[in-house]
Order: sequence, then structure tokens, then C-alpha cells
Amino acid sequence: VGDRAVRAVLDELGVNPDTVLVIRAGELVTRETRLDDADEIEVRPVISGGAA
Amino acid sequence: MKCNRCRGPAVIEVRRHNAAYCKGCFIHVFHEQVKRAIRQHDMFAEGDRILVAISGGKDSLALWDVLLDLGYDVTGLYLGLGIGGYSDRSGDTTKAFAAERDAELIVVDLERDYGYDIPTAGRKGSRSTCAVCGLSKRYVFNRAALEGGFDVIATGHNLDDEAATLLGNTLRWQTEYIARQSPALPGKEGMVQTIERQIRDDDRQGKARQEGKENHEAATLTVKERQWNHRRQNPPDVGDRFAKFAVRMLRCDPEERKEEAHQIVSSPAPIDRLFIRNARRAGGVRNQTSGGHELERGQSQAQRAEHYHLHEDPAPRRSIN
Repeated sequence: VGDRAVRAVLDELGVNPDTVLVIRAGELVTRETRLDDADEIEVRPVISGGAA
Repeated sequence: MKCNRCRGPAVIEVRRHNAAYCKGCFIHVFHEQVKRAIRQHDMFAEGDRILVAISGGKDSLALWDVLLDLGYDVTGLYLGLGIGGYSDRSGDTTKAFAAERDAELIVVDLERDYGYDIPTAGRKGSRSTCAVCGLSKRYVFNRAALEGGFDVIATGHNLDDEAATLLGNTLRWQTEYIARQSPALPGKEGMVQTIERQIRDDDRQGKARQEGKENHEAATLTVKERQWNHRRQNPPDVGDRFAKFAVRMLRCDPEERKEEAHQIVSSPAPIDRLFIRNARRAGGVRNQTSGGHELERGQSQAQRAEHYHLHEDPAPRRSIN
């Protein structure tokens, strides 16, 4: 992902940061978190299935 | 980014509260929100038997989890809908969670216990699949609660669900439904009291993630500068505005809510008015333009109607194909 903040990666992907959770190595990261070249991140959409 | 509570590294932002938290503090804040909502809406008391409706998704599992953490007498109810692999996975996740937390779980299976599943019933009957599913859930939840001697049913509807329902009812002029929408619905003959949670979807998902239960500026800046920077970098979105509106609506008296809904749907261009008003209340937008004209705070109803080139009849227009 390169040496960038999470926000920059999401911008590049065209993803609104409010609609996703970003996970690195099993832990949540905020949009200000700096990422290394070697980091792999998971971008998980925040969705609801409805009732219950 | 630092945790607002302990100043350690933050892992999650909660935009609605303009805050960020570390894992431990986020869970603490989440618990406090739940406790406050229970108290504020007089949802139930210590010792009440609570039946929590579980779908196997993050919302209901997080609700079950937090109620167990808070020491309530809570039992899960899983309803197998017979929707292929989806129901199988949801059932497995629910059973695994119950085993992990050593929690009581009641499993009802529509096919086994009532002789039908949702896809088949949806195809055969005159009702839509969603209507059959909703009706089945409502019936089974209430029956299980009454037969099991439970005092209250808890569902995992979150604030985004409530906001969506509220918007839908507002657009369809369903003011009676709006008046009935509430985080706590009182019981009546044949129906157990029902409560719903009031936390936004991203908060809930964050909690589920933090606990591994998901399934599927600078110091020299003045407060004003920090606020401005935050606003510039984080423009309010419609979802945030509407969630705030939903919170306000759900907290007020049902009759007041009905009156507010009447005012909204009776005004010209109800949607524009709704969002403009909520944007102003949320502090994110001073004025919003429409059709090249700027709306002013003191504009009269007639001026607004003229502005939008609308007729006086406030009834929603329907198109017939």
C-alpha cells in the first residue's frame, strides 16, 4: 500500500472513510494511521442486514 | 490520533461524538451508552428476564454480548428461516457464540417446528417474502417470550435501521407509524414489551470487530482552529445528519413526534426542508442552495412554496403508469 496514511489509500480507492472499517494485522486502524509498504489491509464495508 | 479518554493510541473514530478511542475505552464507552439508553427509556430492570432475538449478525450478537457483560438475565433466541446457506452459517455462528459465552440459547426452526420455510412461503402466499419473514419473526419471538416467561424482547435494530424506517415513514406520510416508532414498545395482551438499541451501525461493527465477534493537530492550534480543521476534513454526510435527527425524534414524546412529522410532510419540498434543517442543527451547513437560489432562515412558507414552484396542496404526488 506504500508509505501513506490510511486516508490517502481510501481516497485513492474512492472509498468514503465513514462507510468502512480498516483492519491491519487483525486490529482496527484509524484514517490517520501510517501504513508501511509491507502492510496488508482489509477494507470492510459497514453494513446492516436489518432486523435482529 | 489519540484516545479521547486515556490519550493512548486510538483505533476507532466515532464521528457522531467527534471522538476517537482505544480498544478498551471504546468498549467502556459502548457499555456506558447501553446503560444510559436502558435507564433513559426505562427498558427493563435488574432481575427481568430478557429474550434477545439473534440473527447471527454483528448487531444482535453485540447486543447479546453487552447485555451479558452488564450482568442481565438474558437468553438468546435464534430463528432458523430456512434460507439456504445463509441460515446455516447464521445458526452455526450463533451456537458458537452461545458456547463461547456459556449463554442460554433457544433455537426455533420454521421448517421443523412450523412446517414451512421463508423462501417457500414467500413463493406460495399472497404476501411478499419480506412480509412473511417479518410476520413469522414477530409471531415466533412473542410466542417464545410468552411461553418462556420472559419480561422483555430485545432486538438488535441499530440507529441506522431506525433512521431508515423513520425516513421511509416520513416519505410515505405514515405519521401513525412514526408516532409508534420507539426504542421501547410497551407490552400488551399477546405481545411482550420490545426494546431496541440506539447505537450507530459503525459503532456496533467496531465493537464486534474489537472483540473478534464479527462474522461475516497540533497542540498550538486554538479550539476554533481545530474545530474548523476537523469540519473541513470531515464534512458532515447525510447519514450523520439523519442519524442525529432520528435520535431527536425517537427521544421525544410520541405525540410531539407525530406533530413534527406532520410539519415535515405538510411543508413544500419536505426532503429539502428536512435535510436543510438538520444540516443547520448539526452545524455543518449555514445555507444550502436549490435551483440557484439560496434559502434563508426566516423565509416564509409561501416564499418557500414560490421558491420551489410547488402547489399549495401538500399531498405527495403519485404517478400512475
